[in-house]
Amino acid sequence: MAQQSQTIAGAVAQRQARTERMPRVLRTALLAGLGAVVAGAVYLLAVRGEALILDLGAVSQRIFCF
Amino acid sequence: MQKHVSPAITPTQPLWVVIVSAGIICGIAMGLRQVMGLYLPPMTTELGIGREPFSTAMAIANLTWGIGAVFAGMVADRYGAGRVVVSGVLATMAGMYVMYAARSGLDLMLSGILLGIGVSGTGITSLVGAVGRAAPPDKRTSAIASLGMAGGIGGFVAFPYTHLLMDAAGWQLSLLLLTLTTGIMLPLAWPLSGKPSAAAGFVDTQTLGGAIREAFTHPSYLLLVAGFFVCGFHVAFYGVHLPAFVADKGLDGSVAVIALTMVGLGNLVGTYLAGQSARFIEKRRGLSLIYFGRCFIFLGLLTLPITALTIIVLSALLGLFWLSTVPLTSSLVATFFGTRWMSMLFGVVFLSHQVGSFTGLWLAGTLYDLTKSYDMMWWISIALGLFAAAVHWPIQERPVPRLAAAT
Repeated sequence: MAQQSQTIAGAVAQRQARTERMPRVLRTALLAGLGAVVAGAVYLLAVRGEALILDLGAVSQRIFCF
Repeated sequence: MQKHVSPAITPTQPLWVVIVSAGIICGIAMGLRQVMGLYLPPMTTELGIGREPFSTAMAIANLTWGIGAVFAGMVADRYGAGRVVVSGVLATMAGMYVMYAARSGLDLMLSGILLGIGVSGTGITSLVGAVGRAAPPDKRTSAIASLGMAGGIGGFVAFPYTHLLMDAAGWQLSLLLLTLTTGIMLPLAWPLSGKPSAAAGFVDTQTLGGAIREAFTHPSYLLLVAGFFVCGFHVAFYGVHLPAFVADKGLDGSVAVIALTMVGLGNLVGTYLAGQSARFIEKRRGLSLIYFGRCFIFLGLLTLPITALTIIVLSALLGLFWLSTVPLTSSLVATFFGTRWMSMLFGVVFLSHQVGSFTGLWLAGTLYDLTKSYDMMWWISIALGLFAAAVHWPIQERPVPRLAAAT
């Protein structure tokens, strides 16, 4: 019985450790970095998008997409 | 089939470490996989070969990916995703180097095989099991959605950045730089390494053969496989043929760029929402609604006056229903069979997606050549969307009796 409750307590502790939240500073930095990367991509698409589509047009009929 | 044991003693990584590592790997892998098409014009010119060898190499890469995903998933489920990721990274680096040094069409095909193997190991299919196992059931769908969003971001940002890199450094140097970028994934494999450990107090000792037999005799799983075919069909057709559709309607090429950008951004929102939706509605219903929503958008493209605004707005809406299917579909696999063979079983579902992609592209090209219009394809897409919505509805969203008895 005691062994079983120890096992359950261990499982709960392990689960809590695994599901702990990401530190706030890291999360903010990650989101800021991702935001900057996506914003940069949107900017590049705005200024160079047509050239990109033209270059892709040649191959797009023959490849898969995911 | 199962035995109850105490949980693994060795401490596992926090869930967020697993998600961030897997997400960065998935983002880079999906990004690299998307940009290879950009190398067609410079490579064919430089090597003096036709477009066929390059296109064949890319097709080989995608087929290898679809088939390889099942085997990579198998290894990841048995030995852990870490070594699969490392193998995938090394194969990707080798494939890119062979592409860089290619002198003939044969070299390109070898490169295609290596790149296909690479993305099998680093793509979402091999990572979904690691994340699915690390997350508790109530957070599983949203955790996988994070992975899907990372893949979406990777695919979205890779095109413009690689295009800029090619312009600035030339195609050969840019390939080498991408090869180095691929190396970033190597250390990130560490948090995903190690054999899948016990979860929730019991170990599922189901064998590989047993898992395959169980899956292929499970009606709901087969419905899921059929439904995901439609996802690939829609996504490939729309993503690839939209620029031609826009040009046919006499609209400026920039409309296609904005529309595809909106699809990419909408996809991030849609995937996030899909991850959250599992807390409120059954996943099978979420999937039915997604496919039903796609039907309305395709109907809009058939019946509404086609202007830049309608295409952009409909594309943004379609983005919401784009790859939001991935977290729901993969989580359903875990709901049915648990996470023991999750990557492998999702790999089979994904193979159906890739066959759908191929069919969508092939049929769109063929029907366009015959009719000089995409109308027939929109109708087929609507019919398939209704089919997918219908096949997801009767799915039994519960574990197989083997698992239900163990919990």
